[in-house]
Formats: sequence, structure tokens, C-alpha cells
Amino acid sequence: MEITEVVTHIFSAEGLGTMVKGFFFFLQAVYLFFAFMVTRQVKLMNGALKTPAAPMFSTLAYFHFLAALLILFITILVA
Amino acid sequence: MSPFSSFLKKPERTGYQGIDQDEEVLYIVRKSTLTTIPWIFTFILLVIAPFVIGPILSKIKIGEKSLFGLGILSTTILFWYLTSFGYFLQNLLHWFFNALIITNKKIIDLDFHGINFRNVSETTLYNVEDVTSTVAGTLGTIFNIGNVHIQTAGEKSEFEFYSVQDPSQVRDIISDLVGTKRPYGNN
Repeated sequence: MEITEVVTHIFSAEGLGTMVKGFFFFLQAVYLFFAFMVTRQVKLMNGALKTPAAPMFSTLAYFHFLAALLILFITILVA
Repeated sequence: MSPFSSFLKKPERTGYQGIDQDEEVLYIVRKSTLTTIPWIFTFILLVIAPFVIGPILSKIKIGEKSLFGLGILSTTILFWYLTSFGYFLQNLLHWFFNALIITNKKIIDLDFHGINFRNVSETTLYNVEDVTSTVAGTLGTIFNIGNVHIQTAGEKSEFEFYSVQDPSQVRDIISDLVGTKRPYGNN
């Protein structure tokens, strides 16, 4: 494959679509790590200030992490 | 009383890391609930945005083919709502946990920044030298929101707590508690 063909492919609908998908996967993977960090953050915060709202914050943080995981799987299956 | 109040008096089942057995949390002071309006409003805008942006994205075409197919578009919208929820959660956590805890022995200032920075400062009531409250600006005057500045004799000489609802009341509470620990003043 010549270089001109590669460039033509990159800027074709398929090529751009693949790039968008690749970037989107990368974003979601980074976000998944962030969501995991939030669960650790909530654990630290609940330890620093103990309140009756602690279980609610933990639930929200784990829900957020599981949703990030689920959406990443859906993207892999659908996109 | 809801734990989601900006000013809690004798909150139930509440403590902090390192609380003594004979210590009791008397007050928890957070930033005024009015300070949450900007990020709640932003969150509402983020929730509405896909209804406007979605149809525009679906129309972007390269040649005959749509750049965002139905699959990628729907997962993008799902991801958008996830990040919007993440934004809401982060702001809620920072508002809730950046608090000033006043116990019958100490004042504890909890500061959380970002997702991995935590700063906890504490001083005994005995070490408090001076408490000042400030209300400034038009909005501060209208809504009675201001800052509380605590001068101490400890290692960290100053505690500053911003955007508190009714700072005069907080100043008065701290001064009264310091008075019970040092009934004859600083001298």
C-alpha cells in the first residue's frame, strides 16, 4: 500500500470513523480509571468525616464506576 | 436534621478520624448551600445538552456515510451522561466534605482538592486566639454569606473558612466555646 493510499484511507469516512472510535475508547478507559479513583476518594472522605450519609456516597461512587465499566463494554460491543 | 445542611448543630452519628472518646461533635459548618447553585445549574445544562447536540452530530456526514453511526452516537450520549453524573458527584463530594468541624475540644478544618489531595488541620479550642467574621460584596451582604478567620497559637496559625452562611453566628459560637475553655481570656 502506497503512502497516498494510506492518507486517502485515513481521510475517508471509514478512516475517520475508526479514529473517532479509537479516541472514544481511549477516553472511556481513562474515565474508567478516574471512576475507580473516585471510589478510593469516597472511602478516604468517609474515613475523614464519618456521617450517616457515608453508605449513600459509597453507593453512588460504586454505581458510577460500574456504569463506566458497563458503558465501555457496550461501546466495545456496539461500536 | 438532614446531613446535607450547611450548618449542623449536634449532628447524630457523626465523627472524624481521630476523635477522642470524650469528644463530641457540636457543629459542622460547610459552604453555604447557595454556593452549590452554579454547579447544579451547569449539571442541568449538561443533562439538556445532548437533546441539542445529538441531532447535529447525527447529521455530520463524510461523503454518503454518517461520521457518527447510531451505535457510536448512542454510546457517546451514554458516556456524556456518565461524565455529567461524575461532575455532579465530584462537586457534591467537595461541598459535603470540605467542612469545618467544631467539637467540645477542637476545631478541625477538612480540605479536599481534586481526587487525591487531602489536607486536615486541627487546633484545640484553648489555642484559639482570635475569631473574625467578614461579610463582603453585594451578594454576600444580600445572602449573609462571608468568611470566618480563626487565629491560633498553634503550628498552623490561621484557619480560614470561606462562603459560610451567617459567619457572625459561627464566630459567636467559636468565641463562646473558647470562652468556656479559657474563661479569663488570653492573658
